[in-house]
Amino acid sequence: MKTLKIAVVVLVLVCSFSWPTTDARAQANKEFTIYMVFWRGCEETCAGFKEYIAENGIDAELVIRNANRDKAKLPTFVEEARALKADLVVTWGTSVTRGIAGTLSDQGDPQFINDIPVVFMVVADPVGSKIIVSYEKTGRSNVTGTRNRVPEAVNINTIRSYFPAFKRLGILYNTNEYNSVIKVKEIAGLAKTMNFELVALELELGSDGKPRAESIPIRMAELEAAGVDFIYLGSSSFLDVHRDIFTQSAVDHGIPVLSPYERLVRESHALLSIAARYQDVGRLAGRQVKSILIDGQNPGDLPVLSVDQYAYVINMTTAKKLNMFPSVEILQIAETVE
Amino acid sequence: MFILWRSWITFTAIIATVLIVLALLSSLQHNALYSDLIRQRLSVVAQTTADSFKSVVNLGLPISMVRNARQILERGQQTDTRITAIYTFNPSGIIVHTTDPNGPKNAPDEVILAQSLAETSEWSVESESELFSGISINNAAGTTVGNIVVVYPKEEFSARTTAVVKHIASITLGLLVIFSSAAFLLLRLRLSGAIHGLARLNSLFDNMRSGNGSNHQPAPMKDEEAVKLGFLRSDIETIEARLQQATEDYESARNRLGITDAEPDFLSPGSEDSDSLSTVMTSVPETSLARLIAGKLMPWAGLLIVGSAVVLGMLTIGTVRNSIEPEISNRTALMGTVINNNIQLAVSAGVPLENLVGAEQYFGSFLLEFPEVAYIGVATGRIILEAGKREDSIYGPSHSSKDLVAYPIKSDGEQIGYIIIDVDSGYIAREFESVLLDLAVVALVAILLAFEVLVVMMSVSLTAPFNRLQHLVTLQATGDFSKRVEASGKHAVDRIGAMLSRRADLLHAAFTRASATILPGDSSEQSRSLEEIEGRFSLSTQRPKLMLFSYLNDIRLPLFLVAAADELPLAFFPLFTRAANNPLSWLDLGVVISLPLAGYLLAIMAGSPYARPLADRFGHRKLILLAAVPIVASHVGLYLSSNVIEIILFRTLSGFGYAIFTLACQDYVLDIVPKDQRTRSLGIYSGVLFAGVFCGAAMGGVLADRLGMDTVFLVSAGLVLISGLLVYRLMPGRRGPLIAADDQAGQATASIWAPLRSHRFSTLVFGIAIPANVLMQAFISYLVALYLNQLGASAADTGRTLMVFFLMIALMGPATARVTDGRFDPALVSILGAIISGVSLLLGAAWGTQLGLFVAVLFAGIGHGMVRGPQVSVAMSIAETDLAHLGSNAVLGSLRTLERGGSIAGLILIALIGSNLGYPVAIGVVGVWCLAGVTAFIGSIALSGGSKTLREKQQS
Repeated sequence: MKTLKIAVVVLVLVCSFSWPTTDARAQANKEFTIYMVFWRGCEETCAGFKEYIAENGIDAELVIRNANRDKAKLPTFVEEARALKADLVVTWGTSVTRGIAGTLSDQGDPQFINDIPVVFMVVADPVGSKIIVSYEKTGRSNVTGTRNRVPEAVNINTIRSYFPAFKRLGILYNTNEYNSVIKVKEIAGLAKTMNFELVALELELGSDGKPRAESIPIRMAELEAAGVDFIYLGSSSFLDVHRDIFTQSAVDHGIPVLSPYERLVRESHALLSIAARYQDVGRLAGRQVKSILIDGQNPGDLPVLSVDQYAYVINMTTAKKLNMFPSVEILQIAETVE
Repeated sequence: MFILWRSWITFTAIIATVLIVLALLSSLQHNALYSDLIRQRLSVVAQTTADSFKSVVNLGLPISMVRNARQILERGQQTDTRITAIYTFNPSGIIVHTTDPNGPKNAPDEVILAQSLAETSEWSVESESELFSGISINNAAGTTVGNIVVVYPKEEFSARTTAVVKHIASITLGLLVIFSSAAFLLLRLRLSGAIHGLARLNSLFDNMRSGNGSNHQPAPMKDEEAVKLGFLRSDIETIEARLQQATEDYESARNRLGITDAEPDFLSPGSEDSDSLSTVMTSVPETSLARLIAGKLMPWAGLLIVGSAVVLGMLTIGTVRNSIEPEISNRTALMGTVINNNIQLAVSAGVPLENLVGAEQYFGSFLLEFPEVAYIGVATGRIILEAGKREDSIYGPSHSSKDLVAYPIKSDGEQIGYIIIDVDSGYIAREFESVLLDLAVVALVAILLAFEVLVVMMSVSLTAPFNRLQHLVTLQATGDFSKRVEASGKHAVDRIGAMLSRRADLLHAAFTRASATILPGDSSEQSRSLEEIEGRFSLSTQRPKLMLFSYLNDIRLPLFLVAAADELPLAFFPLFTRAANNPLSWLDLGVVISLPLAGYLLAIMAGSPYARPLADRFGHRKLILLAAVPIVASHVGLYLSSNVIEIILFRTLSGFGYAIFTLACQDYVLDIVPKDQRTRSLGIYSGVLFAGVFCGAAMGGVLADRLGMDTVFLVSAGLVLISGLLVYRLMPGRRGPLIAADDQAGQATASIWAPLRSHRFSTLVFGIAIPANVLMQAFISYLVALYLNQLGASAADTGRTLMVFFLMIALMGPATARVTDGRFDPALVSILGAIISGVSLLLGAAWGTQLGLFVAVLFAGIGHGMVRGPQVSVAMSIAETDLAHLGSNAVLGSLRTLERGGSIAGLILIALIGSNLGYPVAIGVVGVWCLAGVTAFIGSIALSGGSKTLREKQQS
């Protein structure tokens, strides 16, 4: 019995010592450590980022963490980043960024990363979310990022270009995502100046504080009853994840969807999107990283870079189902998918 | 035979002038047109591509952010495989998207320049090797956010234009040979009499030379021989008689001076002193012989000029048509292809043909963008979509078998429908009309130039020798041996003249020798006898005076060329100024562009009073040559100039030179022409001046288009140099007492206000001259272009309207002058002309359409032509009567300065009225001004009863 105990202890000791050692060995081999936190795991932006780093010969180890839609995990990532002495932290999404880097008023708060450079991506409205002061100057010495959305006015114009008689817009939002809420506020402001009505419905939150997928069709029926011409997804990771339910329900109720995420048009049943490729977003983040790590620039001095290529994509199968076809003029610039 | 050769050479020269000028200019026109057509075709692709991007801009996205931009451009490129590339560039000139990744990173300079100078969003430009057609894309605020350019290689263009030019050249050569031979045959027939007459002169000459004595008189002509002389008969007989008389006088003088045959025929030295060679310029009433020849030949020359121009013109039109028609149908086909592609795109994407959203809107905007398309329709068996109007006309362009063009629409490889495009045949007919008009203008230019050349050549080569001979023989027949002529030709006319001159020389030499032996104060018989000889035969101890003849025609061609040279750049001068470096950025751009014109007008006004005093000082020939120098220098300067300040300076300098040149020419006319022909000659002067202006205005645009703006300045300088050369060679230059001049030079310091004391003069200036000039400067040079633009006329139509004004003056000026000279008081003619101008302006203002304005300009031209010459005539007659104490210098100087100064003030005033009250009102104001002025002038004449006095004076 005593030999067994000793053996186990030795085993545990060996194991617990070897693991950091490989890390240390790994760390010793690469020049930089980049710590990446995703909300839903490594997807196209992640792939694009990796591609850029590899192409540009940036000698960095990528430590990838997934919050899995759980805000509670974020403080542990903060600690780990510090422990690993990461050279740079990349955050994906509004929630993650607010949890890792904090808002403008959280500067100096040790709960958040203030000293390591942070590059954010896929943040719908970093100014509205109070993460930065402005796109030209973030106002925070260690934070910069990328933007990948067209101005909301462009989205409204896009709807009008497709459906000139457009009058009433519908949005579904979930209060557990800050980005979703402030996006609705932004659209409401536009409604006055751009001459349309907004019907915004909140998705029910379950007992766990997260929205329930079942409430999507219910809300959809309500939107149809309210006489909505078009639905805009706004900003919601939840709706992105549940895209098939969301877009199918819309089709069933005869309402077209404009999505800021191209995936909903290409892979699901949304009608329209005018968006950037997520791969481009990742690459752009990589470019910011290069400026900081290789060119030695200060994140606070770097303006937020915008993706400069957007595509107008139309799902023709959805168009057929809804019997709402694009005009000859629009088809000259749009890409179509089935 | 010399007359035959001389005439034939003259005729061939003018035929060659007409044909070559016409061929050259119409080649240039064709090339300009063809280049423009290709670029217009390309603009279809540019426009439709731009429309796609415009949708992006309308969404609020920058063009650079369209992810599939390259595909959009490539779709455009596929419509024509010869397109080199299509790209977009941003306002800084950087190429953002392109179908040619290996191409340049920045748009070429000429493309950027063309875009910045363009007034609309559609523009195009040509470089050495490529053609570019572009569209500027503007956002809602009107700022240019990007540009689309279609690039096309020039090989096809160069091949075609070279072929056309060669074709035209060969036709020209052929026509030259044909017409020249025809001329020869014609002359042979018509001039047979003249040929015989000159043969007769030849034999006379031989007789004179061999005989040298009256005992060797040739036998008088028998009747049959005399009849062969035709129209020259009486003149030859007169010459013969006078020659005989002259020879007798000569022999008599020789005897009395004691010259024997043994006396060597030499001229004693010392009398060759060139300083004492004074020349005599006479205003030339044309001798009957010269007039006869001119009268016989001119109509035929005119016929040949016009005939050859018409034939070449018609053949050229055919050639041009063969270039244009395929291009136009190419363009239509391209439009069809583009529409087809876009509809096909929608169908292939899955939109059902019956449910094409926005198709009718799309067609509608297409019809607006391309007016030559009248109708677009989509049919599946029946018409399911359409826009525009189907043409029911049965007249289509003759080359196409049907008016309709059809393009298939396919789905899954099967044809499910087709697109119909109907072309507006009226539009195409109007395009051809435009080409015809342009060619007609070119033909007119060639004819006018050839006519001027004809006049000069006739004068120099044909009539001048006859004039010289006739004058000299007439003098010597009366025993007057005081003159001689310079005659260096090899034919009888000149040789007889030379012989007669030599005789005068010999007599003078003998007289000099004889006088040398007499001491002053000697009153012996010998001395008295010499005095008698001196008086009887008009001898002196110097050489006989050289007779030089001044003709109005001396200055015709030079004036024509200089007027054309000055007017050539006017078509593109504002553009040229705009494209130059502008260091005066603190001034409004519009003001900067008008500064060269302002400088020019001010220089003309400043130079006007000095023309006459300087002419008195230097002599006309020298002054004209001197005036040519700043004109040439300033045009060379403009060629080399690179910024606006230089442009302003040089243009001002050229204005000064131009004023002196043209006014010196007018003074020459005034001084050499007898008073009874004055109005007529002034009419001719105006006619030639405006013929030159017409040609310059007509050709400036196309020359700039093909040769580049800079080169046109060199062309102008070249024309002025040629005209200077002509003046140098043709115009008699020595100063001397003017035989026909009968008024004093007057003071050099001409006060321009002094003559205004005469109310006839002041009403002439303020009532006739200034309004006429205001009409020129404010109405023609300013209001017409602006008002026509407002009424929607194209630049070409505006140009033609302005040119008709110049043409009317060029034609009507001399015509009315000729008709009225001697019969009517010039004051009356100018009154009538002013009334016509005023009424036509009011008409134009009231009518309010393009046609109305055109008619107004036409009649204003007629009226103005009637005013210009006579008004100077009236001024001259006032200078000879009321204001004789001031002299013609002061009077003319005052007239010229005041009328130009008044026109500048008038221009500013009218411009203000125009921008505040509208153009028709401003036009009406000018018309009323003319009529009010005329009334004042009539009043002043009635008051003074002066018209009667004038008429009396004229007839005396």
